[in-house]
Amino acid sequence: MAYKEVEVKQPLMLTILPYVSIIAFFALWELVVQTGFIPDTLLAAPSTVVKTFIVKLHDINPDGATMGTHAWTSIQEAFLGYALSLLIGIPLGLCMGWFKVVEGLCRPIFELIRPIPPIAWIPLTVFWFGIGLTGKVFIIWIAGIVPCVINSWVGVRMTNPTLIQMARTYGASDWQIFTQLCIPSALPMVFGALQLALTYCWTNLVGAELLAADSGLGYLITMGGRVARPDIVVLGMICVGVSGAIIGFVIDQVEKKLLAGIRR
Amino acid sequence: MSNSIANETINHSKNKEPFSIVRLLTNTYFLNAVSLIAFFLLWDYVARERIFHDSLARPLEVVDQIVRLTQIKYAGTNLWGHIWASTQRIVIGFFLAAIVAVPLGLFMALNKYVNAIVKPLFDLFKPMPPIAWCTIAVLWFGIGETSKVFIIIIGSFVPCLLNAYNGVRLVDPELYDVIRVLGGSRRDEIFHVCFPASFPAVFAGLQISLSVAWTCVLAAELVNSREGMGFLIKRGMDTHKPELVLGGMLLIAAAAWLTSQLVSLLERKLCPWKRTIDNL
Amino acid sequence: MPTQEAPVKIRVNNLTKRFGDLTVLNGINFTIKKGELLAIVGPTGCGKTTFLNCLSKLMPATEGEILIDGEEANPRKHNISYVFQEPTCLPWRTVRENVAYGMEIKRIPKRECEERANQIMDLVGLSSCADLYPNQVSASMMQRIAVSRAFAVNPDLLLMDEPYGQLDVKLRYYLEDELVNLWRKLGSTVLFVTHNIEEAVYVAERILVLTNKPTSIKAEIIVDLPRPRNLIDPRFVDLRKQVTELIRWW
Repeated sequence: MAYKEVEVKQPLMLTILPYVSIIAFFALWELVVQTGFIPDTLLAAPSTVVKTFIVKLHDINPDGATMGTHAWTSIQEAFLGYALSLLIGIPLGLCMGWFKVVEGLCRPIFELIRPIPPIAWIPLTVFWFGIGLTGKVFIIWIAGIVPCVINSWVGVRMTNPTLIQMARTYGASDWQIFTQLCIPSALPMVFGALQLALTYCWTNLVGAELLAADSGLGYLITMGGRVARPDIVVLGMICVGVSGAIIGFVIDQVEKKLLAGIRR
Repeated sequence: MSNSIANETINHSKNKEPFSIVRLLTNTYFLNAVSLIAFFLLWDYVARERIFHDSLARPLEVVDQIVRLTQIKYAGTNLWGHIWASTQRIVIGFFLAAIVAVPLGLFMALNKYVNAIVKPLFDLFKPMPPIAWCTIAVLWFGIGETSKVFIIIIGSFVPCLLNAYNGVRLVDPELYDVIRVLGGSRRDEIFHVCFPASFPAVFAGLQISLSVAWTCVLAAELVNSREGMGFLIKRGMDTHKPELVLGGMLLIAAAAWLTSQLVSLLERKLCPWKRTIDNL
Repeated sequence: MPTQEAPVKIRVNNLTKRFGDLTVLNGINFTIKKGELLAIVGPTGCGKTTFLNCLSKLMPATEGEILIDGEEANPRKHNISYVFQEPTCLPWRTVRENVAYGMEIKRIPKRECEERANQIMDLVGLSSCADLYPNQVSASMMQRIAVSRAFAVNPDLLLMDEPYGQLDVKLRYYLEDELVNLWRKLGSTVLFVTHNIEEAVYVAERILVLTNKPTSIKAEIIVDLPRPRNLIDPRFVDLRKQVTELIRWW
């Protein structure tokens, strides 16, 4: 009983409108800057941003590094922090969902730390680790671990209780139920966490770099602001957005492949 | 005899079991207490042994700092002034964002044409972290209140809209059939099915928005401000006073927690029928 | 076919379950002979599910004991299978793996696992979809998977909790036949709980009728009709009437 995708013809209008909307947006943006409605000290036109991007690929002025270096620094920090938060957060969350003792021990501390916005840790990490890689990885780790723990925990909790009973009547041990039932059924939630954690990591990366950094995309934005170059600021913002979107897309694809059997 | 029919309430009464050491050791409250005490002792130990040199304050010093802030004026205002400054920004920004984003999200889900126009623009802005707007906000609005509120609006807008949108789209289609079968109009469908059914999702969005809003206000205050909890943290960083930094962190955590509890309370009032998972 | 002389497989002595001061099961005594298909019927909400949960040791009984071959029942030691009301397929395992799941937990060698799974899937007609995932098969198939999985472990005691309650009539007849078929081929000891009187009379060798809460056994009826049974055979209709009279509460 396979499901067949049915092509539904939608009005031409609906196919065109999204493109119209995007083009109109950029045109309007270009227009308000070109006509001087918004002075170019406040906002850079899209064409200027593109030019700046090409220049920044090899020019290290005015912020001390090329685009490539900034991007590489950010990606490195983000991935280290992200990987660490997955590595610790997911197993911790899974265990908290199933083992009462782990939950009892970890939950209060987790609940204590959870409401603190990750960027509030910036001063402490600067005290402790300086403005290098370690501090930022720490902040990103804090940011990413929260959704990982929560989603894996909820995922395990939402395991169909009848399945657990079924396994128990066959005499399965707690550990068997945990590995064979709870973890697989928590997987969709865990994958949700991958996306969520990435967004959190990326957001807080920018925050960390705005305040304490000497390179990276967030630093590029800060420097652009400091030397009053809106084109650099906008360029930095777009780069952050685009790279975030690309990583998100990749994770989405991986998820679709891996979860083929679980989701309809 | 009919009173015993379908009596499924038995799960609510509990069995009493005899006291034992194992039961005490696996008791949730006992474990919670152990973990909290261990956490604070460890913190105190690390601070006392100066493992981070003078960059970590002992828990009691932090409490002391907070208490002192309520009595003296710090940078022109006392503790309550700082708390209120941040909260005010949150309240204004959050409400402005919610008032625009939630209806827009609902509208997008209901009308294909609105969706076709707004969705691509929204997708364009969605992956951009709100904190990245800090610099340009200062460029546009200066360092006053406007730029901070602007960042909060940007930050809380996205989750509000996204959840309202998905909330309506993921309404169980069979619920519409109920209204249609009874002869309801499109209006009835929207007001009696769509909106109530999407409420939980909208509230989930508001919760996320709120936590993003706190992050944003903090970022904005860290970058530039003269009052607020972020200012306390920033001042602690500049003057190297870890007790002030930690105090600020605790305050902001408490404030964030309180506001999210308020939203939950509102949610329970507005949709008491929502399913919940035990113990979460 | 088991006769009067078949040895007693399951003995339940004075099974009692209380939740706080609410007595749900009140001193239930009965035995099941080896290879017998026993049906239990009772009015709605009489604690049938609690009864099964106690028997399967999912819930500790307040008093009384359940003996399998003279020993206290224990899911680790004895083969107890339970077919639940709702389908219990693991969505991330194929049909074949689902059927083999019970055997896997019992640590039956892989070769034997596969052989038995194949044999049972042949019997119930699941072979053609052995490599599909449960979300690709229909609801009745899912229930068949659960039944096959339960039979595959060669259970000492197979508990079934209204397994066909949610299926339509035609499919139910078909699956009931299939169940009887499996039971006769494999000679398992089955305890079948249902609220459908016709179903009970159709599949069972013996029927226990339960009372309302606090639940105890009201009557025992031996169904000695030849198989395959005929739904309009006067003796069948008689038995059905007799059971209906026993559980009517209106």
